[in-house]
Amino acid sequence: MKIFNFHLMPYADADLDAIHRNGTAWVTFSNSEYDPKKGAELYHRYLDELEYADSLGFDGVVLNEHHQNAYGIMPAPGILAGALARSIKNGKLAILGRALPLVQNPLAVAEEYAMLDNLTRGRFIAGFVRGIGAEYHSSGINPVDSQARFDEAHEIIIKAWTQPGPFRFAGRHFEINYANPWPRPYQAPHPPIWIPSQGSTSTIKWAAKMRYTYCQTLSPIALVARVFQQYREEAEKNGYTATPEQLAWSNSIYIAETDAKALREAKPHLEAYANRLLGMPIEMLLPPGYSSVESIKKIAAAKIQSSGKIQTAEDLIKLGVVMIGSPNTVREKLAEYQDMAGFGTSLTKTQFGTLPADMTRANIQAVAQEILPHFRDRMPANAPKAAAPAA
Amino acid sequence: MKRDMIKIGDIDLELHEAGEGPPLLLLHSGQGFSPDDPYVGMLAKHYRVIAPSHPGFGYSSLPEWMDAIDDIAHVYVALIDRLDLPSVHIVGCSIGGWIAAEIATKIMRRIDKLIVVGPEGVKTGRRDELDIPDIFAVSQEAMNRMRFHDPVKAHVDLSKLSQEQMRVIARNAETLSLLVWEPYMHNPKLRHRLHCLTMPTLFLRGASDGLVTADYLERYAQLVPGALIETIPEAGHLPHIERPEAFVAAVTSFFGRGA
Repeated sequence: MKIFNFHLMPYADADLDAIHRNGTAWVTFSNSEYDPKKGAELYHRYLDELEYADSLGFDGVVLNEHHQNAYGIMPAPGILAGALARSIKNGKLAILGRALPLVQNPLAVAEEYAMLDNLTRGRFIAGFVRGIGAEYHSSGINPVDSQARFDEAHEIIIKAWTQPGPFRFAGRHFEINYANPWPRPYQAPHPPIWIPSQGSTSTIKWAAKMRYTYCQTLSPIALVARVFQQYREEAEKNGYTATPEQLAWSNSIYIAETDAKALREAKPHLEAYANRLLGMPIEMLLPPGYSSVESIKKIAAAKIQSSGKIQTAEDLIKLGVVMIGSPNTVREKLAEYQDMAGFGTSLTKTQFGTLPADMTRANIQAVAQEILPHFRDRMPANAPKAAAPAA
Repeated sequence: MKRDMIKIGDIDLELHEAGEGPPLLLLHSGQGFSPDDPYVGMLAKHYRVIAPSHPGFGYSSLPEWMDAIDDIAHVYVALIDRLDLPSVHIVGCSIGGWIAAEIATKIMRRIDKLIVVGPEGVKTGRRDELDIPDIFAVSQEAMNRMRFHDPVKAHVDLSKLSQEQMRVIARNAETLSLLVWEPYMHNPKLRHRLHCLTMPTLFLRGASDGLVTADYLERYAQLVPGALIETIPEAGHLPHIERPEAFVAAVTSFFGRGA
């Protein structure tokens, strides 16, 4: 298994009561609550944590993009990736991902990613996402256009990376007469492409068809297993067998000497994440047209963020959203979940919510010592069966 | 009410029709058209009511090229022609009123009289303020408070609806977002075209309308030469639903009784 260190870079100094009073840490939570002095410290602290993880042997570090919230202060992940491109010496550098429909010129993403791929001499992983519903409220982009803008932007970027420029693109949403971005990516034909999603059927089908690595965001392990099975079945329909590495699960790990101590330490910080930083009203999460009616039903059934119910750390452990405990407990859980869902890539958050610097650093070290060596060569035990051929 | 599907260009348009008398094109709000609403039958006693479901609403198709209220106006210009109506009254509610205003800027001489009910469509206020509250960022409950004088009456038990009814509601909401998300609830060009409206025009509003304010309606009406304003008491954004008798009385008094 490949284990990446995934940072959300929350604004950990947020006034949690103020978020509670506002109802959400997104869209309407005033940026007057952001203190630049504290924010500056957080940025440097978080970059230090990723560099530390890299030095201890994680397979890579992972950033993402979110806008206008206290949940994650990475509206421009390329900036942080640029800062890491020269300090991450061993592992890969991934942005999961840029929100393509939110940009006015998709070539800006092609350029930025190609620069990062050059800077890392080919250690960059390119993620593409649609952005979440809240970001359509925050950007003015029509959520109904989200999928179509994603599709066009993706087409433009792949073309820009694989065909000699200049070329012309006259789409419905983007029109460029001279597409000819410099630099070109370092990797040939382009960096690996990873697609994070909340489990929408159309995204799973598309990622499997394109053979892109599929990343399931924060979800109970039972759902993760179903989604990954769906991906494997789609891969078979497309004439190939998906490898475990193509399936990435986004999770959190916290390790202490005993289960009780780990739970006691992680609980307030994890619950701050789940109940304060993550949540938003349904009209923010799912503006009309952002998801098909079918997908909405599935997301609503599975997602903890739309339930509005208070999530305890115990719930999140029980559902297999996170792994918290002694080294032995976490090893057992991760092995069990790997066998259950058949993934070969773990995107592991070692910092979540308000987890402070000293605890995060100890946790990174514990995961590096107690987990990484045991899983380096581990594959899903029952190599997941390919779908039975159609009768 | 008679229901047909007719082809206008590449659109399959659901068209309801009832009654006899002067033709009246009835353009529904963002929540879609329900032929069983009492005001429809009441209007049909006086007029030949012609009520399409807008493209992307009800069972009308939505072609891929369509993304603006003005696109729908073009479809109805073609519809008026297809139905061979030398002249027609138009009543449009909410975005239906916006569509009506767009149609009126194209075929002003063919429209007898025009009533717009709580219409959106122009930006009249400051750049840092919304003229119409953001309907996409509020809870269903808050939305009902803005839409109805008596929000209790607005309560719909979603669990009583069929899957098919839920699908239509979700699709209507999606189409509405497609049409009005950005620019929000207006066509920047429309206000500069309204000067050419030559037909008698009435701006109608429920006194408790929380979406279209009295100020907004007045600024909108000022863009249309000679437009009148009338208010229906104890009604919100949808006076035709909440006060059908008062609504139909306002229509017949402005248009004349017809048949």
